[in-house]
Amino acid sequence: MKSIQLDTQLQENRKGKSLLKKVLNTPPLLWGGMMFALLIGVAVFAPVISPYQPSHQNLFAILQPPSTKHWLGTDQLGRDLFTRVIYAARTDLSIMVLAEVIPFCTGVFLGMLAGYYGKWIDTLITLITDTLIAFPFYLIVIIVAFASGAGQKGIYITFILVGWIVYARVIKGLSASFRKQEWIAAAQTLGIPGVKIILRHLLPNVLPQAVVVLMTDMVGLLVAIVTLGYLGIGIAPPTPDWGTMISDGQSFIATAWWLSAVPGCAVVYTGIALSLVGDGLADIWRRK
Amino acid sequence: MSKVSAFLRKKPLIASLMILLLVLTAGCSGSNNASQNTGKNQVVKGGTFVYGRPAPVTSFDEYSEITSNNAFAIDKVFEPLVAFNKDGKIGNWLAKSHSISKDGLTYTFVLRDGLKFSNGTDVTAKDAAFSIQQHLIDKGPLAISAQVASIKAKDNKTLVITLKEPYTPFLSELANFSNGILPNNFGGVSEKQFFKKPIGTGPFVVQKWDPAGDLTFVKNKYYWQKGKPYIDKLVYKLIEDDSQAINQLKAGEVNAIESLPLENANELKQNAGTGVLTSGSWSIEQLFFNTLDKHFSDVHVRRALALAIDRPALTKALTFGYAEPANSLLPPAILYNTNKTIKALNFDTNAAKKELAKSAYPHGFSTNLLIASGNSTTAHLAQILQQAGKTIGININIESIELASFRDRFFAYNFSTMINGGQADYPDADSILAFQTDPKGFSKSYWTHYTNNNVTKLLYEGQKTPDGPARAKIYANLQQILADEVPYIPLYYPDVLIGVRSSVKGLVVLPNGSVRFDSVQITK
Repeated sequence: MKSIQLDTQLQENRKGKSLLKKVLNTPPLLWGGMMFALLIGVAVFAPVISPYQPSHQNLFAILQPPSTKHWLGTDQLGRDLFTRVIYAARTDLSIMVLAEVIPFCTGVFLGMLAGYYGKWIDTLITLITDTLIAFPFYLIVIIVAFASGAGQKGIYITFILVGWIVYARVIKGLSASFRKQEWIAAAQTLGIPGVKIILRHLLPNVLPQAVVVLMTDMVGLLVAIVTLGYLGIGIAPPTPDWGTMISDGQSFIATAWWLSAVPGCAVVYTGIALSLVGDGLADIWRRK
Repeated sequence: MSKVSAFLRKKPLIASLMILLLVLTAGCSGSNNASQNTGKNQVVKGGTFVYGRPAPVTSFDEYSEITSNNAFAIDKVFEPLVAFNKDGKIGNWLAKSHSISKDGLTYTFVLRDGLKFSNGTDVTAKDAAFSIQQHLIDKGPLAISAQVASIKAKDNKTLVITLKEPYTPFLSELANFSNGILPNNFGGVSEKQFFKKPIGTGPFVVQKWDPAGDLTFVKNKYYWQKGKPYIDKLVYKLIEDDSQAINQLKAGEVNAIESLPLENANELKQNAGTGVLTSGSWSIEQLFFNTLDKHFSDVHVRRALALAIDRPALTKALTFGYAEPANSLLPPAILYNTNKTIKALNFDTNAAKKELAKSAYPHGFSTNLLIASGNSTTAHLAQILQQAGKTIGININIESIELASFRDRFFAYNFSTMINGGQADYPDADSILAFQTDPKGFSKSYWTHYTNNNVTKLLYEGQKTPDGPARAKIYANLQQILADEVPYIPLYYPDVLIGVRSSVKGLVVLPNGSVRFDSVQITK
């Protein structure tokens, strides 16, 4: 009994160590992970980091250049730019994560169904994905945003409608290739029902690839959120958001370029962080 | 998904860097060299003047058009009997003199000598009579409100118009571009054909016209002001994007631009080679209340919100010195405004809270503010008003929708509050006041449905009272009632801003936003 316990502990230790080792041996994942962790940290602790409220206006101190009082200066309504950028990270990142949940789950599940069963299920799902893919993504986003009114609702609805396609397509191919392998055939001969095979055996094998897709898809989603904000049909003021901040600062590009550049850089930073994480995960997965 | 997002997904790093590059390059707009001014008194003749405008000219039909994209082209081709100058004062234009009978019913105009249309034919009183008669038939969005009894050409030079009842704003109405003089019977062609190839007395003649793009005028060689216009050609160049227009002005590709956002004015002022021309305008930014709304039918709620807004502060922050805070409904560029003397509800948060306590909603409420998207000043103004409401417990949700749907919404009274502008069409106090206070008018008190019998009575009195202290008193009373009951909160009077190259001389900016090119010179 004791030896078994010791054994599992040892195994767990080795597992933990090897995971850390893997991360350390994968620089993109390491750097990307650190960048992303920093971003999440700043977003979570925004109220502690900044002494200002993001929507507090001071009409007598507008468009101030960066100073010790206002690290990145103030915007056209006298609001602290630094505060708004980090609070905007909260808004945009949380929408980004929330909007990915449902498309991720449905996409992976439908992809597995289509790949595992093939036949008419595959035909049906392929038909839907091919139809939706024919429409430019931003066209759908803008139509839904107009139909559902400006705000976060439009982003969620659009992503529930079309966000799953990318997962379904990738996972379908992967599942179809697994289907022909022996271990699936073995499970089938044992009489395990299809749904159980999918959830117990197929899912763990396709998940790493799905997570890699998730990382890159989130970058695309973030850009979509920011674009909607930029177009004025995204997040409604006074909630800070990088997209609206870029568009707000646009008129002052010649005189106070940082108003647009800082939120723009924040988007770029997040994009790089997530891409590196995605690349790193893909590397680890490939090596395995 | 689309190519863009597929690309983003495949090459997120490159895509991110591209966004960074876009943000950075947006900051580097072209600079240019200043052109030298000769500074001599000699008139510089010739040249082509290029004017950047945000919307194309789609029609020259003076009777049926109202929007500035067409109005400011129509007024280059057709001219009225009387016209307003840059201060909004009315003077003779095609008429060499005019007189109004003591009872205010008979208007007599005598035409200038040697007046010719751009095709070389003489202008007679018959042409003038036809032009105004035709407007009475066609009506259109700027229909003549005066009750006209008859229009007669007494002789070749004299036109007599009689009214059924006195109507003081009539002369002002005649100064509108929609009462420009054109040939009798449209010169023998149909109305539709005529406005496709318009012939008028104005300084310019249409040469080449693309209703979806640019417009080229050449100078009218028969123009009655001898030697004018100084330039040979005038081009209206379509530049829909404001920042692009500014860059083209800086680069010297255009000589002036019509649409200049307030926040960019100082940028052009500081830049060598460009400048800004301003004029007090006939327009006023306002916050409108739907008085049919359950919250804003309560006068105390409206007053409370008015007291919660710091108008001077928001004006300063939003307009960079190119506007004046508004107290009265009439802009300072219009006679009988009471901006200096009126008792307005000035910023006082405590008074605002007390006022709200008197209302049916002492603890505040949530409401919607409707704005048209695409204008950054309006978007910022909305956020300031949102903040002001919050200080007294009124929770304002901003609803920003595209301009066409914005118009549909307020035309259907489907709003609680909205940001919109008032604009006089002609320099008489009645223009804005009738539009914003007449519950029976076409606009139903600017879609606020505000109804007050005293105000309506004063409005009609003002229309019949001849200019003078009595009329001033009527309008002072009227504006005070509006300031007390606030169916709309006057916020600020924005200036008309025109961006110009420093080499441009003699450009006259009118308070309606139009520009006179007849004396313009391009110095080298």
